Amino acid sequence: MILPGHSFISHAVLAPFSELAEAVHAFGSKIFVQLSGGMGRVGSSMGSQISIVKGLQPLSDTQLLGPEVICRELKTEEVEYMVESFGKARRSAEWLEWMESKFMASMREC
Amino acid sequence: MAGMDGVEIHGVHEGMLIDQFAIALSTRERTSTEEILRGRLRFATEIVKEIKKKVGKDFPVGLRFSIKSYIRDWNQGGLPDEEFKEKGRDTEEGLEAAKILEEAGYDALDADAGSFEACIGPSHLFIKSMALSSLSRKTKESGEDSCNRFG
Repeated sequence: MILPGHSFISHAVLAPFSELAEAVHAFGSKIFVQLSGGMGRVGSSMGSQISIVKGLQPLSDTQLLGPEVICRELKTEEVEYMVESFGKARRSAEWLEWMESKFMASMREC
Repeated sequence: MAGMDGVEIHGVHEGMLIDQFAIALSTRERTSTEEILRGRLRFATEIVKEIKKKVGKDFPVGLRFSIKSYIRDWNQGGLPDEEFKEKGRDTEEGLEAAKILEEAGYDALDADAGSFEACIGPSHLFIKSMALSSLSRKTKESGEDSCNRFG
């Protein structure tokens, strides 16, 4: 699962994906990657059970969601940024493929 | 994408962020006309449109999708076999949403039901095997591709 638009999704994180895809394809199977919008409110609503964002205020579409969680309301431009990031996830992967092909070419030259 | 055959968007599913925009309980809009439902699903529909615009319409884009939320109230779930008032997305709205999502460009709906709110989801094993297959079948009968991970 990848969260588009987050800074920790680096090329180093994406790098093993093409190797994985190649291995899966070798068995004649297909492989999809999951792009997530993240947890929003439920990232902290269950307290200790699933609190992966402990200490951070969750983001959601409205501020008051349920009795115990106060979220920060996402701004329209933040949602637009997320939508754009879903489209860009492909682009960063294409850049990665280009880098890999360059790398392979330079390996052949050695 | 790095040799991937497609992507799946997560999702109008389990009450997570994109689903929070989609479910009436967690939005300002508590009524549910088709126009309002389209508005609540806009985050999800804009995403598939953006991907298809950038990558081309033939690149497969699926969506993780909960047909029904099983939300009795905040942090309280209902079970498939009991009677309760659904405060999340009920089956009827789920099937209507499925059509809107397909129309927006999603190629497949990877369907199940439940939510974090309700503590019901694919990882909660107290639900009997295949408990959600009838919902999945309904989605398929309404013209969508779907699968059921409760096999």
